[in-house]
Amino acid sequence: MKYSRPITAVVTILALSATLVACSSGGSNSGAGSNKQTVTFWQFNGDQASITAYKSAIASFEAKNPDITVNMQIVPWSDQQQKITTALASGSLPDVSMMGNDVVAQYAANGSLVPLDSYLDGWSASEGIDVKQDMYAGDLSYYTYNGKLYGAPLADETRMLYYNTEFFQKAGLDPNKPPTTWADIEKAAVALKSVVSVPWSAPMSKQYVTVQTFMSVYLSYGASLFDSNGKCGLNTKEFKDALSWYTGLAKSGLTSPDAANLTANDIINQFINGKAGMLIEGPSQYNAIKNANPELFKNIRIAPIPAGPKGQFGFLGGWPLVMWNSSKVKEAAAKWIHFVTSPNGALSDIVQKVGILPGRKSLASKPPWTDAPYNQFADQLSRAYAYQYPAGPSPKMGEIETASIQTAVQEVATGALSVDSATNQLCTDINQILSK
Amino acid sequence: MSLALRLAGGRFRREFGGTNPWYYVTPAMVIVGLLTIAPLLYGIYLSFTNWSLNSSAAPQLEGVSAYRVVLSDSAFWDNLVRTIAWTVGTVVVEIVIAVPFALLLNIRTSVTGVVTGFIMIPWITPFVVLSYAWLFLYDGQSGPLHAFMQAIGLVGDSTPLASPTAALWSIILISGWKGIPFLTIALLATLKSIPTELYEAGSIDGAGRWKSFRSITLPLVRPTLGAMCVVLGVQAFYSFDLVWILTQGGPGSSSTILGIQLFQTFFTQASPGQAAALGTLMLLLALVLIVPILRATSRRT
Amino acid sequence: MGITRDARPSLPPAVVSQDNRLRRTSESKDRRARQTIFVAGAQTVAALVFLAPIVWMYVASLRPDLDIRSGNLVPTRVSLDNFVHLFELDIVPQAFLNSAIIAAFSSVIVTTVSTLSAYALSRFRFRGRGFTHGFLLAGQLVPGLVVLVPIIVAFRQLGLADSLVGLTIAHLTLGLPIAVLLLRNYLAEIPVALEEAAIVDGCSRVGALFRIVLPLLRPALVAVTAFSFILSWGEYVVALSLITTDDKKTLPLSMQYLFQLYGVDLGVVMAFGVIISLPVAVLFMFIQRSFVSNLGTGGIKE
Repeated sequence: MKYSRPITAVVTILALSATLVACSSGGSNSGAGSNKQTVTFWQFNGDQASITAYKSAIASFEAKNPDITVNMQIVPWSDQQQKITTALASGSLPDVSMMGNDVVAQYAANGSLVPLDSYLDGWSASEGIDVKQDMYAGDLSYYTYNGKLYGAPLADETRMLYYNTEFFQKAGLDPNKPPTTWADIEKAAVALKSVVSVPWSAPMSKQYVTVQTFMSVYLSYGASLFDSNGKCGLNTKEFKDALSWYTGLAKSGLTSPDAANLTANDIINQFINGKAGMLIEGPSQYNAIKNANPELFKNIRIAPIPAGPKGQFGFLGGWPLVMWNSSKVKEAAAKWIHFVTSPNGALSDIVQKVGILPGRKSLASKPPWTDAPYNQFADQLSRAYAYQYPAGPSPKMGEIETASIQTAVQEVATGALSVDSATNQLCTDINQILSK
Repeated sequence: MSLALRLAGGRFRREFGGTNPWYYVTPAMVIVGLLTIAPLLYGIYLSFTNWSLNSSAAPQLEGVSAYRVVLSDSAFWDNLVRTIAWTVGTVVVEIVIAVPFALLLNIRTSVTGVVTGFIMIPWITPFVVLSYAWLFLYDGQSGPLHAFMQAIGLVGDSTPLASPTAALWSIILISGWKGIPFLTIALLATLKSIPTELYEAGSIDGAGRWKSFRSITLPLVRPTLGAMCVVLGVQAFYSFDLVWILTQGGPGSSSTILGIQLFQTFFTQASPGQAAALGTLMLLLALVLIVPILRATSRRT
Repeated sequence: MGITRDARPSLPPAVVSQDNRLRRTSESKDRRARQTIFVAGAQTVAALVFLAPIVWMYVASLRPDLDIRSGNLVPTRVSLDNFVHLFELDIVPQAFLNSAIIAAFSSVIVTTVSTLSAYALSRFRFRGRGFTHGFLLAGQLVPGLVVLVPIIVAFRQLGLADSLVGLTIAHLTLGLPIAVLLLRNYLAEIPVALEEAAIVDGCSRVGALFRIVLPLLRPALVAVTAFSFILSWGEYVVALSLITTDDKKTLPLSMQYLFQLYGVDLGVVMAFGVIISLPVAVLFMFIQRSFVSNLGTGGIKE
């Protein structure tokens, strides 16, 4: 009978799958020892180098602490916000996780995180230095909420100006004199326009890279996100000048025509492919360029972030480890946090394997971070600031940066709104977010 | 119900009845009841609370305040208009391409098998992967589709995705494109079940191709087409992933649809209470939109 | 349309279709062959135009990231490196297996359960039929994010979180309402007279369903199973919320590993696109053979 064929197929699939289930379900149940504690740890880097680094950290931690097991679960960066939100709503948070520096205050404010202050003395004693003194001021500001410290700095990041000396020479610019101000950048861009299709691929899209770049502009023009009353402080001449200058790059064709919809990847790849003259990016791009295009890499140099009328303001990226309040094994969790984030623990090994800057000054002053280009980035890091500088962190930062600042840049760049109306809209949005 | 069943129904039941229909429908009812309806009731309860993950407080009943917040936000109404355009646009693109496609594939040739298999690919592939291909096609500097659109004056120098006027419809094209395979397959399944003798009866009567399409194929395909419109329309109505990946609802809010608003309310604003209210409103809107379609297409004459 | 529909049940289909075949063979073979080549050409061209972005994706899966980004359409360097890289990630092969298991089980269960429901809805008249139909369809209308939190909480309490069984159960709702809706439509096209005849001949009700109705319903069953399979195969948000352990992750979850904080290798992502789409397309290519048979040549003679 003809119908027997699909039925046979179904039965085969079922039988096959049943054996697969039988195979895959074996061995996953580890017997929980009676006095053994398990620390669940969400790690955000899904690349092989990071996974290997953390696995070896776990192995040495468990050797030192036989009564603790660390259960690492990988939650890739692109998943983490959604995963944390559903876990928060359904009560399935881990004990320890990484976190983006901009949202630490948000989870501290709603009482989901454990303050780490009570552990600091013990950590300092075991390291022989004052742990807090060893952290960067920018990190301390980001991770402190209502006077309590909620994050242990793991790694930091800041951005610098990468430029292509070949294009500089062709455009008649001195490759030994990189632009030091935003006005220089514009001059260089105008000159570069004749030799390369995109002088500087400045992002104007709804991607994080936009605010990460633009913040160096508006802070250096003297604008600040919040006023003294904690309300939106952007409705000022300084901010409008910054917005007008930055979006002007789009209007005069100095950035990519697709600037309003570019991702960080697009921008980096334009530069790696020799289609852009300048790039503002972090330390990890150094090796990325070297590996992807060694020919082009010979002509690449790095310079400090350009300054504005009020000085030079670098981007401050970073991610700490935090402890969630729902944890039932807080002492063990604190031990693991300290092991990962301390120079005498696994920090040096992890940060080297992953290729990022350590969140501790004492480590950054030792090789390999004293070598180029890391020493330059470490130096820039001492002049790196939060989006809301000089104000302290806001629990609503995550929403403000994505929902409003980037949208304002995009609206002006595409010509949908004028600088004035975009700024008004921006402040209305920010104040509405703050008032919720 | 088919006429034959109506004619035969009474006798049928009398002679062969006794088999309880509930035996047949209970498994499906249990699945939908436990996994959709019960959680929905809880979701509706949440929509009357102030539950926000930005505070540690447990959900508390707070009347219709979440609904008031959603409805008084002018962005909601703008997003609603865009969502309707988005839904209708997506379904129209799907129908306009899938109907001729299915008719073409209904003629069996040596390549039909391979073609039918391969046209499924857009539908199987996740948006995240597909979107890279489309980003490339639409790219302002090297995208071939952008070059074509620019040549005929549809868009300017930049990718349509960066244009406040072109972003939404250029994503509608992709959304419709991705839904075409399934509609084609579903129509093909119906076309294959039309007995050839119907067409032969038609051709004896001297009916031309167009006439036999209109008088034989279309009426038989109509219920499937109607059902599929509903299915694909509902899918489009709630979707957010494609837009989120390509433009995050931008530039500005020019491609922000309700699915994006729901996603942001839940994940970015971490407000499950308000997200539940918005979701419930969307459910009501979807009901208002689909009931007439179902009525119109399921009635048979 | 009343005339043709009335005529349908009264025609003995097997006889008519055999009659058709005889008539067809007597037609000019040359003309038919030329027509077929023309149609085959048209089908190929239409598919190629339609699949242009997919062709780009498949070609890109063989190229290095840098070349893809350069914007040149014609590949200069071609290799399987991206696929090798993908399979070196421990998570991808396991995720492939997990997705296949979950999608196979959930789609087969959905098709079985919804065929039964659709059969009852189209063949029986009973109190509550309209309600049942509406109830099942309502499943399709509920936005996922509204029911997400209660489902996660319930699954955790039942011990179904972070398990393949749990995710399979959660995926049952994805295709079920659509399956009922479509199958009910298809079933309505199948004349009741056929079952009636079988039952008169001594078949049981269930026997008639299996021997008469299912073979006729085959194209629809394939479409519906494929639909639920693919919905489960690509589902992301529920899987993300339920699954935390690496060896239980599905393909859409494992894909996120390719998006690093500082960059993504497009070639590898495209290779992932090939891996997630090609096996299902090939599977479908084989299954779609069931489309060959029209009503007349289906299961009725056998």
